[in-house]
Amino acid sequence: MVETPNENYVDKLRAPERLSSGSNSHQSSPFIIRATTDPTTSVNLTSSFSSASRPFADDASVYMDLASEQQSVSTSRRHLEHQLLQSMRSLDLSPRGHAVSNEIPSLFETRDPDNESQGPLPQEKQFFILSSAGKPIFSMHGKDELVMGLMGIIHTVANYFKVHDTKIHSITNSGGGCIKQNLVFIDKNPILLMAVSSREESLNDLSQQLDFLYSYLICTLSRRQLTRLFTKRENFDLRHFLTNTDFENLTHICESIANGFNPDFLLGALRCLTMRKSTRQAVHTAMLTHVQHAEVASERGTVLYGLIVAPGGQLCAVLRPRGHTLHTTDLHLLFSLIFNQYQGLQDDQELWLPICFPKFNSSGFLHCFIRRLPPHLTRTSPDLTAAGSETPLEDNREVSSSTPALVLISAQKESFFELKKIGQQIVDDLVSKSLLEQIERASKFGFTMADIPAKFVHHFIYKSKKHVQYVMPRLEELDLYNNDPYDDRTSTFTANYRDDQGEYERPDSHKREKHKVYLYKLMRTYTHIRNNVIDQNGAPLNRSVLSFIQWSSDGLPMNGLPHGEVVDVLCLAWLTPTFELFLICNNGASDRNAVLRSAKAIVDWCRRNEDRLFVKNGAIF
Amino acid sequence: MLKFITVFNPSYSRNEEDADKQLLLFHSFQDLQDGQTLSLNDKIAQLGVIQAMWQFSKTFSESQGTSESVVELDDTVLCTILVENSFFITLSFAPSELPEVPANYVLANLRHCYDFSTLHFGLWSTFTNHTQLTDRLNEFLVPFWAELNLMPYNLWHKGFLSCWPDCYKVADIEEGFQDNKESSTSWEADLKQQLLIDDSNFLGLQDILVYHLPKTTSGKSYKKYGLVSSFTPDFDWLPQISNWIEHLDNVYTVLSSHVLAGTVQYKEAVEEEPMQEPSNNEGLSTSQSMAAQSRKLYNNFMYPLTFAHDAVQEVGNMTGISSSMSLLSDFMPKMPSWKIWPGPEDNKAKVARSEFLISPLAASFLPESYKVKKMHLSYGGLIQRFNCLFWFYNETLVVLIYKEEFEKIWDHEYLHDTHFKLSQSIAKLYSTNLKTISKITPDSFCYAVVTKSTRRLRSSFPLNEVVKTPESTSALELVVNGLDGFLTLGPNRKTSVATLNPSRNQIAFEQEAAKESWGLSLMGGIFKKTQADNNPTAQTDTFLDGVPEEKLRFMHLDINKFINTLSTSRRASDLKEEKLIKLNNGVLCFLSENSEEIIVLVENWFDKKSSRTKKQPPKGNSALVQHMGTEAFHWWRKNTRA
Repeated sequence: MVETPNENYVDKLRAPERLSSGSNSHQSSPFIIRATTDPTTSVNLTSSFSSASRPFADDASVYMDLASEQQSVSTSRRHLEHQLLQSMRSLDLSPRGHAVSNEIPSLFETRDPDNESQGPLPQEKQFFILSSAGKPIFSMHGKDELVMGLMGIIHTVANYFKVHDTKIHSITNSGGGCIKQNLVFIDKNPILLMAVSSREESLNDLSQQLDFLYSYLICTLSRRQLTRLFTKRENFDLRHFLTNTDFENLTHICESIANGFNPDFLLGALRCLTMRKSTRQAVHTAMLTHVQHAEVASERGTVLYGLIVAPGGQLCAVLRPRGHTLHTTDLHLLFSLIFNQYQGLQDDQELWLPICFPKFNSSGFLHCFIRRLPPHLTRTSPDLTAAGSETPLEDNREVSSSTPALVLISAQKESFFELKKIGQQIVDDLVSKSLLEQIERASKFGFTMADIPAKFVHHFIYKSKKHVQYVMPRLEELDLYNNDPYDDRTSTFTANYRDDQGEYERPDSHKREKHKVYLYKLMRTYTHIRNNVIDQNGAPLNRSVLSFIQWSSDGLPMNGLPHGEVVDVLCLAWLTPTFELFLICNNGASDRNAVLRSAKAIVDWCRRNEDRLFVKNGAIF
Repeated sequence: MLKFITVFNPSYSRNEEDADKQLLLFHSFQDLQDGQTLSLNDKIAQLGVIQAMWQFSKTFSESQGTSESVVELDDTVLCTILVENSFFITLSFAPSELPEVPANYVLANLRHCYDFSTLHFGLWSTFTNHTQLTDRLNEFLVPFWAELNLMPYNLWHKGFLSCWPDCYKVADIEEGFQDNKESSTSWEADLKQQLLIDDSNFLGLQDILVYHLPKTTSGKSYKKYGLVSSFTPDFDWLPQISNWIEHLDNVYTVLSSHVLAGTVQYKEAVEEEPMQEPSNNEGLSTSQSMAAQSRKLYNNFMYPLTFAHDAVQEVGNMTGISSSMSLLSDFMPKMPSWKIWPGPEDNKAKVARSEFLISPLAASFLPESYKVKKMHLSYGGLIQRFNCLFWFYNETLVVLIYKEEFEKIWDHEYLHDTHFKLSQSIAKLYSTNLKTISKITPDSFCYAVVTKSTRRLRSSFPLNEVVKTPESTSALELVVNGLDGFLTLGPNRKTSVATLNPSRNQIAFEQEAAKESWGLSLMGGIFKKTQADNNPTAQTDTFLDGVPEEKLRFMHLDINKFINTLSTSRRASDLKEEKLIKLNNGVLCFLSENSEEIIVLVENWFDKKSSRTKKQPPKGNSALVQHMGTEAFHWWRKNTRA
């Protein structure tokens, strides 16, 4: 490990420095530009914002919780407050003692929770899964009785068209010059999936999401088993066959798609862990040597693929046979399992799991050996204990879900012990070369906006099309696959909406909630700006497109009402045959030329550091 | 191609048994094989599914506000609009048989179709007798869509401007010549003074609409096309009637008395006559086409006869007129340009043509619809029937809207007087506002502005021209319903049918000969055409006017996608959204939407590079629109509230 001075974005030196300065890292920053371009990520919200003095200065979702706590509040008052909220959407965000806001204002309409004219299922997003015979399998929201009826309609409509030798793909409802909602159907006989969204998602986005849900089912069942179950009896009730965990996972996936920050689905790409080229090379070598070890190599096919994944599904290293890659969807499913379903996996436990990778082979199972790579396996350094204490808010569960994992995939059912052996060897190797430590650190810190000489940029996502991977600056407390699941499930195939769930009292719950809202805003903004370069069917508007989108306050602020920060957000989407860049600027930064310069700087930077940002080839055997 | 259109109203059916009562119209555009027809049950099932999807969607969002729905199937798209809160109009079409037509183009035409029908027979809910409504729908909706089916390019004619079907095009005429103040009053004031508030019209003349409808041929832009002026502020249905006039002008390429009276229709040539194709017409002898005409006679009977029988007798006697008319179908395709045509108008090219198109001056034997057009119009929320007269002056159309009880319009003296007053005012309009300044360079950008409150649409985007060689091989014919059929029965069996390839280069002018005695006319004139021929380059207003057909269509599709991103946007209500989209094919588009208006600016960034001035925009205040060329930016500064 040689520390080269110009490698200035993964910072071994700066990391502890930042830690030592505590939550408020601004003063300690060695960068001048930091004062203006510091992104949200490193700001301690509690120290920067006062929250107690403003009773309803919060975003709608938090507000709803707040309202449910105070039952005495009259409806009209709540209504008024809601309106107030909308008028001063960013009041709570006005920073104290910071020159530039480090939040983004909410740009999107919020639904009035008290609106009477809403339908029985007013949520903005819905997912339904039913069998081709009309039996319900899963619904994201809604009571059983209601959902049952709705599925009946879906079934009838789909069937009507089936009889007429055609298939329904989508319904787009609009009115008053704007599209109100999109409904997308996917018929994967014997399963029918439907999504409803009244957000800005395109038809293609929705069908991608449905495909992911379907892939999950295939992942647990395999296509062969699914077909077998339904050929025996057409009106088979799959609900009896799926386990509770399956429903939890489906709910979780839906929730994560609907309300989480998950660019993976949007971009159809993997997030990649930023590492030094040499480090990644060392990890790859470690993996490769043990797989190609003389005795293992004799039994070809023992190990098909090998992966090291950092928390949040960040791809760290790949081991693959020449000429074969795993589909992004398959990996998303795998990561979702590791960091959601098996997040409780203890450090000393190993998992031997049959998984069907739908895009690899939808009718067969592969076998996965999964093992955590906790940092304390390494000789713990004082730095790392400090790193552990940096996030004291995270409880044990989260710590375990935030450790990297080693995955070895085999086609052979009985090769557990071989894989265990190889796994142990790899882990030993990683430990001895103190590579685990580096993976851990890289996954904790990543890079921030301050590492890139790009003015005015709040946050960005850069996707390399060649690698089908993306990178973005670090976001605090971001866990793509584990966005606060909830346990309260009473009906068999639905997930209850969170209205009646008691507020989980934790000192940091407010802050966490706020951060969740922030991530959600970020995600919606990305979805929106991406739609400006891609049409409804997911095709780019042109071979390369550059598009700016600016939201700013329209007209004069309302008289007599307090108003917060003036909204003036500039975003950029840039699509070329080699990369996609989505960029959100700081509120108030509206100099288009400067932003374009920053965008170019980011692209330059990403290209220059391609070796570190992306897993280029992986270890090929 | 179109599959079927249906109109139904679920509230007309009370229970399971009378489900058929909700069905008002079901017309299939396809010939079903083996003589099989759709059973009533099939039709009702179809309606049921459409309704089910509609109701189902309501589960997830507020019940109000949704008025359009597009259902995409494998090979079919179902477009549904809801009108008057209870009538569903659904059109089914197969997109694969058409070049790319976004659903909103079709929705716009559906909306227009409904709007135009209400102009003719009022709101649908006012019909108490459902069979009567069905009859009217049959008369109106079916021909409307049958024509679009024959000429599908009319579907995308308006391009992305179809995104705003409830807006109407306003002619963007500079008031540049106002400075010579000698003429004391403007033409508008004159018109108001002499007609609207004149004693002779007192309380009779409700409104005057002045349209400027230049032909979009020879690269003339769409900028100055549309409504020039209307005089009553609370005219709610101004968009409807304006769009109707524009639609007629587009579809029939020329506004004639017949077109306005609604007795004209495009029909497919009889199948058995493959020789009827326009390209083969040279070899077609007169007698052969005679045979074709007589065969068509049968078809003509299929349509509602607007002719009174006694009128027909009279027509039969007027052999002198009909025999003087040449058979257009024999000569049209051979004409390389209009200059060769020895038209009588050629000599008096400088004389403005002006005439009533629809007025009681029409020959007495003509049906009522030639004398006065009865239209349902809404002023200040109140829908009434009005008598409308149509008058033109060169390329300007004037619609005179009279109260129904105003009897003076039947007085020829009064009409001549009105004609004189109108000619004077409109001549003034021409001399002051419409004088074409020969611009040295065309605009380097195009704009479209939609004002939400007034529903006015200003645009300089050229529209998609009619495709030169229609995909359908069959010749289309402009048939004057009834009239021609009966003429062929006449002693000399001559006909006034114009077999037209619906291209703008060919203008039906058979009425020319007849106009003197019949009181019929045809708007525009041949001399206009020759003028364009003399000076073809002076007409380009914007950089897009010279763009080839196909490219223009794709550009419209691109911009349509951009505008779609505005309609999918869920931004908060008090924010405005601006965007700048740059494609690598040269399109640079600026879009802006706020609570008041939507603005679209397009230019070619390839061009801009070279013509860009050195002057950099002031630092720190670099709005998105400043990325557009200086010309566009100046326009922006001049035309927005900022």
